[in-house]
Amino acid sequence: MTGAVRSIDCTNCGAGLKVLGGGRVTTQVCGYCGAALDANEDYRVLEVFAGMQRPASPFRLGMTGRIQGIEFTIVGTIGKIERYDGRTWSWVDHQLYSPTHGYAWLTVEDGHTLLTRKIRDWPVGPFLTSRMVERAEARPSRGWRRQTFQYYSTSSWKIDFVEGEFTWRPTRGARGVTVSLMCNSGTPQMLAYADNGSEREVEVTRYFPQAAEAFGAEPPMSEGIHALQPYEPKSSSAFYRRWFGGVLAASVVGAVGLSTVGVATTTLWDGPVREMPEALVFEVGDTSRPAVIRLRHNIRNEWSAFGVTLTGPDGTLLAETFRDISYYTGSDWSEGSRSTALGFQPQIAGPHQIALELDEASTPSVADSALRVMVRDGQSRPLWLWMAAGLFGLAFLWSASTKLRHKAARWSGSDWTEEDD
Amino acid sequence: MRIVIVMVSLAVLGAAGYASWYGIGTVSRDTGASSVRAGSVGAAGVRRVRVK
Repeated sequence: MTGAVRSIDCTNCGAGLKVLGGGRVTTQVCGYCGAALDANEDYRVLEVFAGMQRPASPFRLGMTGRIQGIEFTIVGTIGKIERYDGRTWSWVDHQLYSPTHGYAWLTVEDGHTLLTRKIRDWPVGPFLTSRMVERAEARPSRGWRRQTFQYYSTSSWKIDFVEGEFTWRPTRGARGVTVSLMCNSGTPQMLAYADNGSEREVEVTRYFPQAAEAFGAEPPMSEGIHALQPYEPKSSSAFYRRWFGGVLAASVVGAVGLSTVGVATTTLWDGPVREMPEALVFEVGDTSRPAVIRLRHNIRNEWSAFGVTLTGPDGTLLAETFRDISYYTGSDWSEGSRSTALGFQPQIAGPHQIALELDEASTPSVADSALRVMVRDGQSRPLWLWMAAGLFGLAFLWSASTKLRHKAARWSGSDWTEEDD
Repeated sequence: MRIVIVMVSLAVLGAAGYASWYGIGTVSRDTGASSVRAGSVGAAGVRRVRVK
């Protein structure tokens, strides 16, 4: 009957309605008054869905577009919502019709567009229900066309808007459950086990970003990464990976170079504190970088405090201070250190003098223990380059993991949790 | 954006290289022409103060 009629007047409100769907259309819902009309029985009013609010979508009834060379027309629109745990998800399904290829669905979800078709060659195994998912001990999976699909999520949805022509009878408030599985390799696809209470279908959905262009619609603003969105590396990703890899390598080479290549350390004294001369003289040749004097006192469960007087070649007092050394240890612990250091910036090259005096100690025998005094000028500090290397390493990992992060984002919407989680 | 990232990372690398080569942070606070030893708690809780 519908095959011969190209437009009708709504039998409830009288509005003119185009008839776009094929001969399998059973229900037409008036977009003006919300009346559901029986397409097989002179469009008699079945029921009226008053006060429906049209969901946001750039697609409208009657729009035509080519999908893989086949012309499809948008004949119906269904708005669906899901509420769970205080959160609400909503999406819009547009029923598509082709006289030669039948029906399909164009879905708009978070600004992403998807294409769904029913499949006749169902995957091996029983129809996957939400109850089976709840009872499963491992993530359910199904094989279809030599690909493995793993459980992704269960959606308990409700219809809150309906308009246009359908091959079934959608009603506002009708509920259904869809169990979705997603393949983990190749082009992302989703298998959906859809159960609306009276009919069970298995559908396959893929990402279809060309939809707006194909139907001449305004491209929707997409939010986030959709579960079916394929990874498309940006041209900048490879550049940043190489760049941060390069500066990371430069930092590490510089830090290792400064750590291993340097001015030799000169030992000024290595012997008992008691026998140490009043003053130790050492030569400083490099005044552009700091010099460091290190004390290593071979004590155990003792402490010592040295007065330190440092003078330059011209007699200038560079430091008058002290250094403590404290080292305590037990069978499985230790505290403090046997070493200490004094870094200073030489002003003039030439002979410097350091006077060390044991001011105080935990016991008099500390004066008999060995003290080593070392000096090194032209002191560098590779720590800064190591810190830069850490920073560049993080940037490198970030730029090198875009594909991994994309995949993680795709699966982040899965509601499967392992028992141990 | 690329040029900004390149310039910033070169600046970080240059600054880190400069600071490392010239041993920034190696000089003790209690040395230098204007240094003042404000005191510290020594081993075994002995508090001593020296002022240059």
